[in-house]
Amino acid sequence: MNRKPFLLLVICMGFLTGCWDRVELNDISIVTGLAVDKGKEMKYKLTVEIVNASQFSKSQMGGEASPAITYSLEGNSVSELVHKMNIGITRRLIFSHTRVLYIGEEVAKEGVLEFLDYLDRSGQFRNDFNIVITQGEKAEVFTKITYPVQKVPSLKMHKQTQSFIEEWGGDPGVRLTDFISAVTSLGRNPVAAAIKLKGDPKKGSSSENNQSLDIESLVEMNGMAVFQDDKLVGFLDLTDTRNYYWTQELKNTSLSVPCAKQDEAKSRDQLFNDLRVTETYTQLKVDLKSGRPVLKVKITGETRIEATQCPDDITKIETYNKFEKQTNEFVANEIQKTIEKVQEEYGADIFGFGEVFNRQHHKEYKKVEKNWDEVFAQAEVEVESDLHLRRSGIRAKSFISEIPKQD
Amino acid sequence: MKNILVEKLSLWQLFILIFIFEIGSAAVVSTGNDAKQDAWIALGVAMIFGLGIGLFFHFLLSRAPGKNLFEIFQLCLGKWMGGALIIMYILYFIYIASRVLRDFCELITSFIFEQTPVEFVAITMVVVIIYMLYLGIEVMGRTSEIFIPYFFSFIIIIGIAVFISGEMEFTNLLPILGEGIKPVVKAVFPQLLTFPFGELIAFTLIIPYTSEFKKSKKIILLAVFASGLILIYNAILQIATLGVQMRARSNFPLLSSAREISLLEFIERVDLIVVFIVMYGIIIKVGVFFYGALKGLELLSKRPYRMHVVPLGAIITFLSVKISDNFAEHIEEGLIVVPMFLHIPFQFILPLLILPILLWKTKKSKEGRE
Repeated sequence: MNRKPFLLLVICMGFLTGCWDRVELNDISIVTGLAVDKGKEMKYKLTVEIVNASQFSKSQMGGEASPAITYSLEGNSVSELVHKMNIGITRRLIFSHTRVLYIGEEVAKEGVLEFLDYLDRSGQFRNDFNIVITQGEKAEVFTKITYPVQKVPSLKMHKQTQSFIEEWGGDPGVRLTDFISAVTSLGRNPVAAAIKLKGDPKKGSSSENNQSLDIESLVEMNGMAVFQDDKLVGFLDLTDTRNYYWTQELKNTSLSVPCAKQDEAKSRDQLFNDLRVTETYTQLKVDLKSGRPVLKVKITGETRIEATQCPDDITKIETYNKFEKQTNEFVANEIQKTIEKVQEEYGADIFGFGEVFNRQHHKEYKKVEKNWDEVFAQAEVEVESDLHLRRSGIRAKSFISEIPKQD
Repeated sequence: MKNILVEKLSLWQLFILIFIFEIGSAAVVSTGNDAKQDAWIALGVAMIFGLGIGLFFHFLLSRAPGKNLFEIFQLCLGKWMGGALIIMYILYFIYIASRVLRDFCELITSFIFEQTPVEFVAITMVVVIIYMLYLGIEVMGRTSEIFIPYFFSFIIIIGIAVFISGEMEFTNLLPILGEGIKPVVKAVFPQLLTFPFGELIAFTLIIPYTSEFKKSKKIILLAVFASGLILIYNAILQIATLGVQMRARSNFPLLSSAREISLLEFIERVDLIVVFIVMYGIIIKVGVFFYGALKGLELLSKRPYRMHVVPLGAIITFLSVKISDNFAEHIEEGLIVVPMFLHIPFQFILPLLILPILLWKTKKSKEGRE
């Protein structure tokens, strides 16, 4: 009897199947959100948000069970808690589809972000989830606010920031590696998105929240959090966040630029041009002026008129030039204000001017590297905006300029 | 010694073997970290030295045509002294083969199979290598001929894919030579010089068996040059994607860079093609060192090397697991102890010492003939 083929088969079975680390689909639960709060007795309180996958299969669209489950535990390290979650949950947790990491304000303020090492080190987490700092409420609350279109809270949050960045840009677009390299870099301080809750947290956690038109509780974007090294020092509002993101990698945004000269009048009495900015590109530079660094921002891009409230005749070249000039002044002023605000209030270089300085003038940077933030806070800022107004939608003259004037 | 098979490698196969051998593990573990953002410059400098090293080894072999390094040892130092030296080299090759194997096992167990015992990964790999070497070095050459298109195109594709995903920031490469030439020199000597370029020493046992020895010089230079270019490309890719600090903190930077690939939010998680590159690179690298050790045993025992394949494979597997207790030990030994105390003596000092004797001996024999 020839036993050779049989033996070979058995040997192959041992070597060719990768079944040592197999994970069956019905043994796992997919985690979409993680929330880290300060614990009462121990260092952290970790909340995981797990998708209830059966709610999404067509055959069981009952709508009775909740779209996601959350569960919290307290402990001294996130990694231990992650593996301990089965105290209350049936299946093994899989983190590769994590969408949002919520960090409580308290945790961030005390600078206990050591748990990020676990996310960085473990191969399970991809580098594609949002990092948000929660304002007002504890982080865990935000994993429990459902929404009719995207029922799972973190999926909603992720989609929301993504759309927001593409449309207007009020999110710093920070990912884990960005955050960590900003923490370790001397020439840059980290930022993270900030969110707040509108409405009653209790009501949001029930799927009844999805049944009314005026949603009773909703998670809103609220600008961004500014860090000094690894400690949270404050927040910036949405406009400043957009301006910050403009210095980084903003692509599209919208502006309302006053078309008459900005005078004492209140903004509600003014007339505005509504401009859509597309394809913008920003260059950061640090030049030396008599030995002192000058921070330079140069913005280029295209704009188009989406609407105008002004009576000017848009068919004329002068009007285009006038609007263009107004826009550039407006944008330069906006960005300048934001940078100066950060310089005064926080003195933390979140823009990465230090890194730019290092690349341009390595030797000079080395001298001030240790106290770069102080140098940054006192440095002069120059913003140059070079946006081009290209077109004006499907109408030429605005009807506003055609309104017959009756005196 | 009549039953020993004479094997022949074609020049193209030699080129591929050297190419894959050089890239194999060097592309994956972080190399040249001392030079920070100038790691790619350091690699370029090391490559130029690598060309010199290749020339040197070829010159050594050309003095005694048809003889491999071990036979040259015996020629120069006689049976006993030469034999002792060969035994040392055999141990060196076995040790390096197990180190390289361990590199791969660490990668697999920390990235993909977290629960799988490291022994199992090692055994699986060695079984393949044993099978390949049992059939002979020619088989290794031919297998590489089949795999080279994938190997090469995957490396190139990773870079392009990361670039298209918009994850590369070439400003990470600045400032160029900001700290002057010093860090580059520090990275080149001794680390980059010995690994991967000095490791060409293992090829002194293969080059004599190429079909056209005279043309092999050009091939060696070409292969070292091509692999150097790929390594530079790789270093630029890693630094631009991860940044200097992140690269230095990554155990396997190429894998970490490949994780950033996200094309059209659809083609993601392609880091496994890096594992393919590493896997094939490691097979060749372990295979070549393994073959070196086998050739030594063949010469000493006067029996065909195929007899030694299985026992030696078992030893390499065992060693690769036992060689160090943990990853830190493995890497620190690899960066500090091994280059200073193993690579430099075995790759440079001993061949350099043997050179005058060889020149003297060959001169004498030539004169004798005349």
